[in-house]
Amino acid sequence: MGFSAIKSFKNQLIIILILSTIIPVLLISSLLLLQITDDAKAGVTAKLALQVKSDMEVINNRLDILTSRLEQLALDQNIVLAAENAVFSVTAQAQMARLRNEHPEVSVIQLYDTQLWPTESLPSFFEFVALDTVFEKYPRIFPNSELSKLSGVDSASLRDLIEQRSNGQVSLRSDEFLTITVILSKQNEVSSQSGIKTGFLIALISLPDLLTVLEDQNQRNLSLSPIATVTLDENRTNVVKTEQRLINGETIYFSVASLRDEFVKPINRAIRKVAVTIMAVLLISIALALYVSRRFIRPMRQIKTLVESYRHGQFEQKISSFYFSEFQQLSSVLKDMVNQIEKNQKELESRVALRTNELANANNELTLLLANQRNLQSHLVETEKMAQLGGLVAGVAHEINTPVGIGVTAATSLHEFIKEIDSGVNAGTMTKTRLNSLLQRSKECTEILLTNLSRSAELISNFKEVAVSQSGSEQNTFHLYTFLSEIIVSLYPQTRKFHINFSIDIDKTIELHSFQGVFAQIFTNFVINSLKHGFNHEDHYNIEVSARIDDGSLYLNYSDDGAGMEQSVLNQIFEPFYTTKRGKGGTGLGMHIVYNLVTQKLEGKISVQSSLGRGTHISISLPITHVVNRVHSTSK
Amino acid sequence: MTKRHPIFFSFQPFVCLLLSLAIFAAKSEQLVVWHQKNDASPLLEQILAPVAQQYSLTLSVSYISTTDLKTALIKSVLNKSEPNLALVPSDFFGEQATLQLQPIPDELHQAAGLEKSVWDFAQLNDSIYGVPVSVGKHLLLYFNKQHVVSPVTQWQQLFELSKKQPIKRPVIGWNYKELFWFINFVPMFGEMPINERGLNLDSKAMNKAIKFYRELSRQGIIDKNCNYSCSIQRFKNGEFFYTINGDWAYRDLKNTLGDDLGVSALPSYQSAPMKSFYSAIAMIFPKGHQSEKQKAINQAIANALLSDSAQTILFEKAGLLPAKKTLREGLVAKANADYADIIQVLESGIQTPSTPSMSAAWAGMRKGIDYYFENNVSEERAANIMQRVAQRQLQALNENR
Repeated sequence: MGFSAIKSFKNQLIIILILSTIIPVLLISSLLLLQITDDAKAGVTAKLALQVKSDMEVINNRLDILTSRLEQLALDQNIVLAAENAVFSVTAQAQMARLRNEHPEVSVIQLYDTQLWPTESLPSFFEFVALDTVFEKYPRIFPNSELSKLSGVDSASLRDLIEQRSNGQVSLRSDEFLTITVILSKQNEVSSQSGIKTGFLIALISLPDLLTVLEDQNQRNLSLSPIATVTLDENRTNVVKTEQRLINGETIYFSVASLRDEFVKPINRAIRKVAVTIMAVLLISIALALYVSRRFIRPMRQIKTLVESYRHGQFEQKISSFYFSEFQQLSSVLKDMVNQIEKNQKELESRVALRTNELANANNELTLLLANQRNLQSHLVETEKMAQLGGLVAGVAHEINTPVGIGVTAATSLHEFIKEIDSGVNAGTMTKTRLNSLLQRSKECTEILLTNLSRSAELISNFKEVAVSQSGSEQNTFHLYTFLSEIIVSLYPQTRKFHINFSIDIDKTIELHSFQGVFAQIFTNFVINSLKHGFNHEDHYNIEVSARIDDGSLYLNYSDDGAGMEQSVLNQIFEPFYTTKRGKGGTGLGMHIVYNLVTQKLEGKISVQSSLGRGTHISISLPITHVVNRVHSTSK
Repeated sequence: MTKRHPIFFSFQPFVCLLLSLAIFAAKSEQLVVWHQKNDASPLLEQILAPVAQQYSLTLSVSYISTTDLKTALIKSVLNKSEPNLALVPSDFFGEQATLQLQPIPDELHQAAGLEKSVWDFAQLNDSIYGVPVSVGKHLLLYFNKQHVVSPVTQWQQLFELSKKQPIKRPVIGWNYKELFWFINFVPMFGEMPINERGLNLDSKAMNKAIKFYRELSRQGIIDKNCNYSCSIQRFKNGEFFYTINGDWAYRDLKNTLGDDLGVSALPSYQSAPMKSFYSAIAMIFPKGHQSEKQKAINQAIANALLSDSAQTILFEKAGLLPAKKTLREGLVAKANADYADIIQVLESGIQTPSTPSMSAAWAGMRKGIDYYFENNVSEERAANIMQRVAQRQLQALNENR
């Protein structure tokens, strides 16, 4: 259960309801249990006091019976005579065995003669063993007897015997014993031997074994010991009662201890009852809490469902009536809110419709405006094209005009010379000298005429190539170096008024298959822009053009050392209709066209670096697909 | 003074009569006879009735088992309630001092007419303390001819026979825990329980005998818990192929099994013969021979029991072999052929000494054997205990002398 589950109103309501039920129950139960514990302990103590008296009486009685039985045995002639004569051994053993069967608490029973010879012993592994216990406790029964007189008898401590020889046959749990001794003497009035002692019978009673005479002794924690300090199981024992008795001349401490279980049992029973009660209370409180919480939560859920439906615009959902007034008030507020929302929504819809109409109109106008702008742009492009064409034509006319004019002058002069010769010949006035002079002059005119006509033809040929390349939109194959050189030549009419030094650094073997006219248009624009914006007629300038193939691209560089331009100008150089020569013949479309040609037609990239007074450098990179052939050599 | 009820006076003469009869009966002399032959009381009453009549004695014949007879006699001595006559096994003479037996008068000795060797049973040192009535009490191997064609002669054969049984079960039975049977195994291993030096229980022969005896039980040849009556009954039932019992049991077994009963000597062990101890049943007179009347009664009793007719009755009815050799041979010759075997075993047997040493040896063996079986000690320890207990008992007997 996450934090959100704890924060749930419903869960907290349930928890509070349950706790408010359980805590009082637990408190009352604990008090009751404490009371039960005290009562149980007092009961056990009282019970033990009675029990210890009762048990002690049982033990006393048992020992009395045993003593009587031994005394009775001591009167039996078989026993009395067995101390003297082994002939009575079988009968005596049977008698002694019968006594041990009747009194299992007798661990060992032995028959000694007057010389402390153990003539009979039970269990039989004590045969021929004179117990040191006997000599310690009864040295004066027969003062004339000494252990040293015995031959063929083992002497051993009882403890040793128990350890070495019991083999589980005798359940001696302790080396503490009660001993009961009866003297054997011949009892017969008619016999002269009457009253003669033959020996004694000794019974060793293990104190722990003596406890076996008590009922349920296995289930109880009992102790019988010659010492007052009783070691009991501290973990399991709570109350100990001890009774002191003098038995057979020895003080015996009898203790009865209650096992913790004895009074823990009623407590455990009470705890079980309390646990059952608590469980019942818990179940009832849970059921009650669930019922109450559901009753509280139900209207909240209904309101939540209502709000959800409002959120999805389902205002037609009806608001039900609630039992609790708070929820009823809340539903009324919601109802008002819905009405207000519906009203506002209608108003909003009408406003939106109005605004939509207005936007549609504006959009139409903008569409129209955009169309006009596009037309205008096309027109301007065409105008720029025509302007460039006009400039080109004017240049061509101007270039051809000079040699043609010289040719006309030379032809006119030649015509005059021919006419003079003709007239002089016809008139016979022609002298030889004059004729030679005229012929010399005619010859010179002819040479001039030929030179200028050749010049014209050459110019026309170049213009034709440029014109053809500019007008073509189809691809053709050309050498880059040669083509750019021809473009520079074709621009001579524009460049001749400037002091320009052209430098072309291009591998002459580079052959392209591309839009030749596009290249012409691009470089013409570069040169024209350098002339218009970067150069003046007084200073000397350099224009450098270079090309290289590297990394799968063709890199073309154009640079001049003209005036350069400011950064603000540089930032807008490719924007259409941006020009610093507005009204002075600039249209602002030249570099825009160049940009479009490089990026769209040739699918390349173009960049310009420039700053005031430091010239301009233009870099173009084109895909290598344009390159047809090249040789790895450079030439200027 | 309290007044007596009239009814008291009406019963007074009757009470007086009863008291007079009781006093008379108590003062009437008795001829008390104790014996240890189970079914012999009527026979003894028949034989001794004339004696009782002759001396106006009330005859009282009581059977007391052999086990209890000795203690009963000792107690009677202590209580001054001795019987006039007791028929006892001859080994009782070892307890002569305790029983305070007096030597028999010469007249009695001479009148008995027994061979000298027979008197050995009753002789201690140079005195004779009783009169033998019957000789024998020796063990025999009985077998059931329905199961046994030829009786075993070696103990190994019994081991093999036991192994051959489809189901493991005893093939022989006797009163296993009774020393009377055990002692017969000791000489088989080369030494006697007593010898010329005295007690000889702590010996190698005893060790071997004890071990062998226990092995019989461990190997399942015998059921150690089957006592005297059990072993007889299971033999009669055919459950045991063999039984070892005394000559006194012959008539009982013969009556049951008839011609199926076979008698043989005890089996040998590794070629060493197993000889039967034999002894005698003798008359003792615990009251002594002090008075002339007592002497006369004792003489009359002896004469009655040793008479040919009485000896014949005891042989024929109770299976007691007569003490007189001539009479014995005559009766046996007329009797069943099995008796030849019984006599042969007797004659090749070992006479049980009647000395205090033998009495002490019995006591020692009793303790030692019991200790051995109950405490699982070694044979050496058991034999050592026998010796020590016997020595102690012998010391006690000598001190009583």
